Amino acid sequence: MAEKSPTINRRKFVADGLRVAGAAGLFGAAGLLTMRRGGEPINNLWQIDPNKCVACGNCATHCVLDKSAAVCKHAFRMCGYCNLCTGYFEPEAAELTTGAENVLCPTGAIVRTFVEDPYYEYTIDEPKCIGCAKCVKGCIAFGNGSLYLQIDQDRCMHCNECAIAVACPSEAVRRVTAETPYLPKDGDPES
Amino acid sequence: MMRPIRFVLFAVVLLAAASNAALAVERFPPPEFTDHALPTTQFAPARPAFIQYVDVALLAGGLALASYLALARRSRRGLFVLSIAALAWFGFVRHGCVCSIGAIQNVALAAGNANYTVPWVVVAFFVLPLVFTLFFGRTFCAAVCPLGAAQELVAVRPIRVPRWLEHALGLLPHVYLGLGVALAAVGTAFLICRYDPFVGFFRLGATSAMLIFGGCVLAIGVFVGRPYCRFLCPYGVVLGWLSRLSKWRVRITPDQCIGCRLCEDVCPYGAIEPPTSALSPAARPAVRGWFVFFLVLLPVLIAAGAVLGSHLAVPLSRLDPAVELAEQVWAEDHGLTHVTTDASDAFRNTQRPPEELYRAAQSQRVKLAWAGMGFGAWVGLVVGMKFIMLARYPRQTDYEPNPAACVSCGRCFWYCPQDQVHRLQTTKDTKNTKTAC
Amino acid sequence: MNQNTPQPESSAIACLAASATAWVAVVFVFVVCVLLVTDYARRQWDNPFDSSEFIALKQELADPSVGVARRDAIKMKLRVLDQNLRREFFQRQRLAHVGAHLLVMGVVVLVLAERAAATLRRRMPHPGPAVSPPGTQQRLAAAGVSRIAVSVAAIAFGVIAAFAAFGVGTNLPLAVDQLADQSTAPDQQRAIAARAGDGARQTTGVAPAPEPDFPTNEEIARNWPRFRGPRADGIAAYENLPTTWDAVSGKNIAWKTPVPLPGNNSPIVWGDRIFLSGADRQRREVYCFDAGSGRLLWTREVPSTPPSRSAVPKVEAATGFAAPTMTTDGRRAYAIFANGDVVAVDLAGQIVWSRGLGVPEENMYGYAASLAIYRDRLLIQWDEGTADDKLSKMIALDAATGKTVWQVPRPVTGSWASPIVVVHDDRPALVTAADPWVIAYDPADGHELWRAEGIMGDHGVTPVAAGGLVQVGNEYGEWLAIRLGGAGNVTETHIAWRGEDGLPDTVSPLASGGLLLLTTSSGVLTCYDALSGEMLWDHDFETQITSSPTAVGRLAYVFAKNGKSFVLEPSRDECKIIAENDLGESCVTSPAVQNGRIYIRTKKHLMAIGGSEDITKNE
Repeated sequence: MAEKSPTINRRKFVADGLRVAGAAGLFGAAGLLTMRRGGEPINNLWQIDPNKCVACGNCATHCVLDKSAAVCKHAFRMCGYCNLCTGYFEPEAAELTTGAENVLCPTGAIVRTFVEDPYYEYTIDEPKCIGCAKCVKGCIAFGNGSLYLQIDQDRCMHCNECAIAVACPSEAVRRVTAETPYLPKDGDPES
Repeated sequence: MMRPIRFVLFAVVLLAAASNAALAVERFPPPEFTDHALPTTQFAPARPAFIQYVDVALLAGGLALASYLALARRSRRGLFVLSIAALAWFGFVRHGCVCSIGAIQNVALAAGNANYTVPWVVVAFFVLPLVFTLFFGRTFCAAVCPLGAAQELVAVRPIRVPRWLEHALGLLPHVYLGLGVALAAVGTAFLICRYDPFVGFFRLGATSAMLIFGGCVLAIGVFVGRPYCRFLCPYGVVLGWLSRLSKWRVRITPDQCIGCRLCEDVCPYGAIEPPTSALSPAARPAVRGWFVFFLVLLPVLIAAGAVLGSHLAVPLSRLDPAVELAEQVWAEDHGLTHVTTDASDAFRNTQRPPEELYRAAQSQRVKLAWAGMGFGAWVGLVVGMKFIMLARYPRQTDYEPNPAACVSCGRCFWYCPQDQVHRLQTTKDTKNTKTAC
Repeated sequence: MNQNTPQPESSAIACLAASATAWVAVVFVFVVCVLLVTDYARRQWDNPFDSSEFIALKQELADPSVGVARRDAIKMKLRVLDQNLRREFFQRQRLAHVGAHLLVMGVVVLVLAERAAATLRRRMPHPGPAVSPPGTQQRLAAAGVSRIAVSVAAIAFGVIAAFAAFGVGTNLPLAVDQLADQSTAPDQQRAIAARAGDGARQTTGVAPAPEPDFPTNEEIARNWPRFRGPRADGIAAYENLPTTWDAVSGKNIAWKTPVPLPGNNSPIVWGDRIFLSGADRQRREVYCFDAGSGRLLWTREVPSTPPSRSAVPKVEAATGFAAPTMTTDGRRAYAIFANGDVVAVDLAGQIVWSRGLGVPEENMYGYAASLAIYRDRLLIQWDEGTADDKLSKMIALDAATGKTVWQVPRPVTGSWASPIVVVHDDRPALVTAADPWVIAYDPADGHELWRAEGIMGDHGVTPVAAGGLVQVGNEYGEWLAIRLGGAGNVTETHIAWRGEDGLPDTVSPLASGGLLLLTTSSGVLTCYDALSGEMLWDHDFETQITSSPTAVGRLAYVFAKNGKSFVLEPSRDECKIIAENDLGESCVTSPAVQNGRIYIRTKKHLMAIGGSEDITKNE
């Protein structure tokens, strides 16, 4: 026993040394990865680029959440305040009234209010919005394109791989930084 | 020709000059209201940054506590409570993202794509359990991983999986790891996240496919302990290797094993290896022959895997949305299909030349051929190593946990008679000390 | 069981209770699971917002023939239904949310109860008698079984990988350098060429020409390479033409050759060759005639190319299956048919390449836009459906190979007019017109140069360029004279003038000598000042006209549908009729003019008007 113990001690020492080196290596690699700035900033939130969105409707159906994280936003500064809003009315609406037969939104999430002749204001009742993009499509096709989809950071679960991004036909869903969690169409997130 | 009403109505409005942005055409100039303030668009604030620090701190704390409970306190109850806490926080409160298992892919992507900056939280989630495992064994699996905790809770009627089946199924996580890393490194897909079993439960809602898969894992988990951890989890593979090298790890008895077999009986994960006797000298030459044979077979298997794997570029590329789009556009342009997709329509609208898309798809496929080759070689290596391990017949005197398979759940502590004796001793000592006070 | 520790009675009852709770929880969880999954599936496949009743009601409402009373009833119904559907949708969503919570609660109860039961039931484990460690034979046997299991698994991986590797197909060529060669699937072309060829003479090959090979402007100007001539404006380069003829008596008719298959396309001429196409429901053919003698030199049948296969396109009888006029660059002649097949034939009649662009499904009259060519680009204006259908596009093919060079979507409805290439300030512009836009593209890469709004309805009038203006319009909207040189949307900035009177619906305009002549199908000729837009005079021929007029020097040649043809000398003041001739046969196509000859396709024939001596040799 007495002869063996130095060997065991040495072996133990070497093993410990290797472990510490391994741990140091792991931390070092982690540090390098963390410090390394790729071409992109740290993008860890998902967002829709409204300039790429084609309003296909996949956001409503492909989000892992029952209630999609994508909701309609309205860039009021871009809106034409049209009486005949093609985001609000069916393409061939017979009358410009809020009757269900004329309105595009399936959940009635767009509120139309009279401002002054001939202008109407359209606001989104977000809790009702299911992100189907019907209004967005209408607004892009015939209007100013002031209605657009964004991922609500309150609703989003921040999946490592966004199911909407996988299903998006136009690569419009991408990661953004926490500093710019929204990509508003008229360029003003907060003001 | 009948004109829809919209044109008649549009004709009333003067058309303004088109602006440059394709989707933001100012067809109707915004009015200038005299006494109406434009509303501002409301955006919910992004999640606060501090929550990431909380996550990492809780992970590190959880790992330290789990290691302490498993190795120093040898407390099954403590580990159980901790695992419920982990399930509650990392699972139900933080909704299962980010987790260490998924972090493998972010690290792989960062390694494969110099443009990608991996968030530090993800790196921390990837590295911290590895470092702890290097010193304390798989204590992460015991009580910090929410996926492990969920399965730990349901493992009430475990049956023993035969050794041979365990060896065969044990290849699966390695294959899954290889595939997940290969696909993530080239940026095609995060496969491991896509088939996360419990994230649907953590979020209280998901697609039915996810819920059914998760439900199946849980249902199987009642009878086969931790099926995801043992037969799928890719992170468990990495932890298993490191656990073999760990300085300290869970031991069943602090004293001499008495060979009562209680621990082997109670372990739901088949992680406890029985004692073995030495092989008879007569069998040794044959065994050595097999060993050498598998040693020689290893490079052959690796090469075969690499060759087969490099042919996987096409099937793997079908998982890549960009390649799939290129296939679609090609088919449309060459009259192979009439039906356009949303993606091909969107692509046409960008007016980018299809050749650009084809070339991007092809270069992605070249990358996937390399990734597939690496994946194939990896599977060859895993199978070859498995054979080599099976050709070894080490001698073992006590019932001991297999370091790679043991998840440090601590069930065996309570059952080990020697441990009970030890505890009794300790309690008596404490009592004595107390009375002395 | 024999090792069970004796339990007190209360503990047994508690154990039973825990067990029962666990079982109840199991049933509860199972029921909730089934409900959640079925509810989820139902919401996927039976979304309240896709309600067929709702859609049917909306369609009925859109039908203008529905009476007022019925409309009001539908509206009320729709409103009630809409409210119910919304309520149902949100109720289901709430149900799923509550269900998920119930499920988690159930699982928690289940786990707790099961744990409690397990603790109360806890008995001493009975691992069986101690066993001696396995012997050599046992260990070897166990390792052997494991080895077999691992081998089976490894083979299974291999088989799956092999199936994936060789079973999953791809259309995209594998190697990067194959991209250029494979663009039109050469195998397919070769097969077509082999089928079409007569054995001895094979295809001229599909290898792309290394240098773009296209005719010079002088070459083009001497010929009549497309619909309405070298500049697509109906102005002939030659003035040595007869003004009187009579096909019935044969006066001034050089020759008259029957054309096998019908077609409303006009002849094109290159050197001593005249090209025509003809088609019926099944067959498509390209013809080459000798300009000197009128002899049919060769006929090339064009096999259907995937994806058209044997599909018969829907066309109106007046349009036919071969309405588009061919084009040529002197290297090959190109034709497109109503089924979307495009073909390039060399001057010897061999198919160089052919492509199916898809059968136009949403083209109500049948595909009719003639081909245009600029340098080595074959330009195809493919407009169909409504603007919302997003089917319209402009396609540029490499003339040598048929490979798509570029393709851009067009935000327009279906049209039947042809594209033209206008060179202004040395910059070429491909000008197209369809409801609602006149759009000019760069023929090099298809990027849009400018656009102007104002075309309405079914558009079939090919634009014409003269004096720095592009002129186009139709009777459903207005006439637009657009100044060239603009960029972006030029509707507000570059419209020189607009006209409203005597606008054509089919016939393309003639802009020559500062005058603009517009012809309606009913036979009214209206003359404008081409630059100012001042309307000068009109003249009623009192017979239907669908052929586009041609200018020869100061004269204009007009062919009426009944075969009557007029030679006029228009001026600012009057429409002087020089001669009135007869083709003796119905004529709906436009003439081609080559040195001393007018070639015109009648219902059954191709005729050459002019001296009988062979004057086809240009130099």
